[in-house]
Amino acid sequence: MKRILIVDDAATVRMYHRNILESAGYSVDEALNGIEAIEKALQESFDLYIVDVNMPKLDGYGFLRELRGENISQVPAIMVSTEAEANDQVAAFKAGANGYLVKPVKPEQLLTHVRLLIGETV
Amino acid sequence: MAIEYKKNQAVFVDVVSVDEAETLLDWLQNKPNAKIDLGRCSHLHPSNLQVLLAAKVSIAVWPKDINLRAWLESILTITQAV
Amino acid sequence: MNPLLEQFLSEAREFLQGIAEKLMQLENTPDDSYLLVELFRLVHTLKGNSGLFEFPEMTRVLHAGEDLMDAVRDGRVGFSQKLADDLLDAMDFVSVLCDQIEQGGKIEADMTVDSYRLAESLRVLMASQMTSAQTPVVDDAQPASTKDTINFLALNQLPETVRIDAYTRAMAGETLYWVIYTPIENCFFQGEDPFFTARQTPESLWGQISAQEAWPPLAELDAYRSALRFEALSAASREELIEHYRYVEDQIQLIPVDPWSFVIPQGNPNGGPVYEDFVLDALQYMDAGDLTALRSVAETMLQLSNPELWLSSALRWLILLLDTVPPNHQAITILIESLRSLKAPDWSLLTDTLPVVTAVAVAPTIETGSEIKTPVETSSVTRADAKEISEADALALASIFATQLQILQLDDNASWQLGRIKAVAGVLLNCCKAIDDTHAIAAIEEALAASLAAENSAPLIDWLTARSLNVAVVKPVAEPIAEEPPIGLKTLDEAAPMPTVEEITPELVSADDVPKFGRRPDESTAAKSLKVDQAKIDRLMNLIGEIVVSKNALPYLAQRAEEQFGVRELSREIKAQYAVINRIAEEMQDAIMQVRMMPVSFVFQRFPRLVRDISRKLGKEVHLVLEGEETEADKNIIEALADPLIHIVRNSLDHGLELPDVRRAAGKPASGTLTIKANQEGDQVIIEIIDDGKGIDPEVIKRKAYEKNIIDEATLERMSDLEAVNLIFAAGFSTAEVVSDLSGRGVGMDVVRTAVEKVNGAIQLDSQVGKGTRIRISLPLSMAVTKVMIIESDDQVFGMPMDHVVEIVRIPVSELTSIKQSLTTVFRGKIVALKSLNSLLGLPAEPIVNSDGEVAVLIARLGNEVVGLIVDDFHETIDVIQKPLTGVLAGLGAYSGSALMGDGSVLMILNVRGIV
Repeated sequence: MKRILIVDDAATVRMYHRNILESAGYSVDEALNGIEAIEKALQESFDLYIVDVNMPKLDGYGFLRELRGENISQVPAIMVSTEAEANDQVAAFKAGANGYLVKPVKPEQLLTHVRLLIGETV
Repeated sequence: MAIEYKKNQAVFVDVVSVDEAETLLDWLQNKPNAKIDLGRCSHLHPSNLQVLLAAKVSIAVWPKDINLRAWLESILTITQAV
Repeated sequence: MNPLLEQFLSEAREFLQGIAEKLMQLENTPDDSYLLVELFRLVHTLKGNSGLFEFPEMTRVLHAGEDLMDAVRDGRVGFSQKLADDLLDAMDFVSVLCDQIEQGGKIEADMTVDSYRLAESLRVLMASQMTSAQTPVVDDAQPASTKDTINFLALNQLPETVRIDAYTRAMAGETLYWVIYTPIENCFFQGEDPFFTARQTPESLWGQISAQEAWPPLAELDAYRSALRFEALSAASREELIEHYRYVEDQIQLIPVDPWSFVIPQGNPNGGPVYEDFVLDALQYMDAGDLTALRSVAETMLQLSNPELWLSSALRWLILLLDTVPPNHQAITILIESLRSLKAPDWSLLTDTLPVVTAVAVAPTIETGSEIKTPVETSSVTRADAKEISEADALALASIFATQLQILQLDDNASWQLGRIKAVAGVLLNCCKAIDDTHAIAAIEEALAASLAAENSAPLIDWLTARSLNVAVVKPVAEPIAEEPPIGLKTLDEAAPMPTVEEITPELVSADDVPKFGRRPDESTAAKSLKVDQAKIDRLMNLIGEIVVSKNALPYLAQRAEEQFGVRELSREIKAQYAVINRIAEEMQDAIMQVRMMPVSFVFQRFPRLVRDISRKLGKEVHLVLEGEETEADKNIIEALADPLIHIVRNSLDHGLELPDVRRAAGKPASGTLTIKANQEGDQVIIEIIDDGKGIDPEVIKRKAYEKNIIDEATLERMSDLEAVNLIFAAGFSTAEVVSDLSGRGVGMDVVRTAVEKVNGAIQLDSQVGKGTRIRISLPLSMAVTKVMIIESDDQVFGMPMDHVVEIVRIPVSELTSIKQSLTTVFRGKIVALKSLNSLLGLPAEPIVNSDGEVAVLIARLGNEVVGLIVDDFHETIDVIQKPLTGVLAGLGAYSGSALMGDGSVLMILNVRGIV
């Protein structure tokens, strides 16, 4: 079973994403901020990260930079944000995200991207 | 009679034909403050309308005929407002 | 309620609390950048959460708040008192919305306009405080038509109803003609009546007359020279019109009218604010393709606006455009935009004057290099092994590839670039796996190796560029790839709205009804906590109560085994088992109690806001100190504490602390200090509310109490100061000369005392004139289990809460003396009044005197006094789960409740205060 780490400080958003992903058969873990996410990423391997931007302690950019820079994990990461501006996207890509989805993410949109990024056939 | 002239008011009745314009013009020249009652008017020839417009009269009673009133309002109210 | 919504509400309340706290902290340290960042994050996250649901009213206000906090965080707007006030108001509003959602599952319709108003006020505040003036200036609010034809045709002279009719007909497929009839000068001489001809225009919707020139003085007028022009709007066909005007064909003009030119909002532009947020929301609905929602907000706005306003007219048009089948998205967007500027919609922007179905707003694409733009013509490059994939997948895939290319082309030389390249390669590999394109995998791995070796992304870019040509093949040929917005921008398929969150979540969570709590819903990683519905804890509580009661049956059983059946051995074993069960039950009870424990901060946290608001209202300066917020007590106790505490705090602010001038005159600092602290002493929680205000004068209290017949003269004489000031808790006593708007309300401190005593607490006050007042409340840690002593009187047993029991003694009858009418005895050097429980309860029997000539006396504590109760006998103490009396029994003041005994009998628990 593919494992996905949701990194988000908002419990409601975590639950929303978790519901969507679990209903599609993914195994989900959660981290509340960048620091916790790094700890989890160091302990076990995930197949995908879904990362919020704005979080306490260490934000999403910081987490991704750490992930990529320290060679902790190079699996695909999707950044989720409420901002749809092009420069917000570029900032996400620079930090190391491979995809960028605008919140609230529609379930089908999320699942399509997750499936492709994880590499699962239909 | 298509126009009934009263002391200070001209009452238009039914269809007011082109023939009335001359009389109307004369009457209005002598009664600069006269008012017009169009209540029972169903149509008026535009020559009469032109007289009313040039005289800048005020309309005491608007036509009951809605269609006529709408047409007339489009120009008479504008003139009055000026 | 679905679990996601529950989670949302619970988290929203936390955030609202956090926001309020941070705002108040910022009032003290407005430059604390950490606080500003945190505050922004809270508002931002809350807004994001609300976006998961259909709560536009909430999202709107939060969005405005977020923008404002963003500006404050970036230093564009300075933090101010006013700003804090407005944000607090906005958060209060959101809190009300949460309540509504919790109670009715939705937000009441009448909140819509408030939400716009609030959002607007936040935006106005933000604009007014912008350090650099970036506020757009609305130059000329007068609606002006931009299209010449409208002026030319004077369509704006037409009443709205006529234009609506015309627009509707035009949309139904009719062509509307504007007929301009300019009769020749001498037409009257030809026997014509052009006015009549004009009035007879077939299917005329409207007509007007105008003068071709200025009128000469009446004397010079030639009434028979035609100088008028007639215009009519007609729905008749061109042929019909030409037929009608056949004799004057050369004097008419027929102009087909574009349906959009009828759409001219008109009215008073100045009568009401135009809500920027409404425009933004409306545009968002357009983006989402949710025309139903758009129509409904427009309708609401319209109902709330004066129909004479320009805005209302525009809204009426908006609704009409939305009702048009099929709706023209571009036209609707243009109309919405016109709401922002209060100017007539610029229909020249319309790319197509016919009603169009397709969504037109194409999101701007990110610059992805020229390579990717040209795949349309390359359909000849087919891949034999390419798997058939769905269109949605193809679009997503194309966008993912475009994104990866964009990432590879970043030239920021980040130190983590290699990691980024690996991740991109991973994405490409996975995507190819997903579409079963095995051939690509080796090629990607090769390109990755080359990229890593060269430490640049060129090889992967090359592969991707070549690849992007192929990817286009699976796309519908007509659709150029450049139109696919990158991920993140709005999706293309506006026409088919995705199911909303509300629709899909029940389905998603139906598998198990249990709320899916996050593994760590708590902020802190150290304390892993779980949020559980109160009802579940209550159920556990009831169950353990039943166990406690059931286990109490075992000693009786043991007794019967021995006495009735004579099996002593079994009796002993039962007792041993009982001891084990008893221990487990006690531990379990304790564990559940622990779960029910909550910190007093639950109550304390509302004080900063309360104190701030009240002190400001009173013009007082108050420094609030909170201590021991982490002290825990049972949830019921904490909840019961809230109201009395608020009352006390209000009282302190209102009557205790003086105005700054008064304080200065008294040699005190202008700012008063109010301390609220909690700590645990044994099995009691002590809450103290201390102010350094003017204190309470015992003489004043005594005099008043005497005036109000609360005490008699004798009591007045011998009363200590401490006793005197505590008289403020007496029923019917109110210290304020004038009932104040804040703490007055006709209730006094006796209400506080009653509330505290209801949860078996005690309250005491001491005060020094000029120095301040301290109120001390002591409460049991837990109220769920009551230890009671079983007492017997007139062959009946009663429970006496141990909280009240000071001591039990047997006193020789000879030591009882009658002072006046009441029986007393001297106990530990004090005179104690004695009362017979029988007589208090209205039982006729005399107290039983034992063989030694003694009566059993229970010395009971009653607030700060003691009283002796003469009973027949004492028994053991037991733990009971006290249940409140219901029905007619609830009216009995003599009992505080009942408890079920192990043998199934019911024990009545005495209420000492009620009987003495």
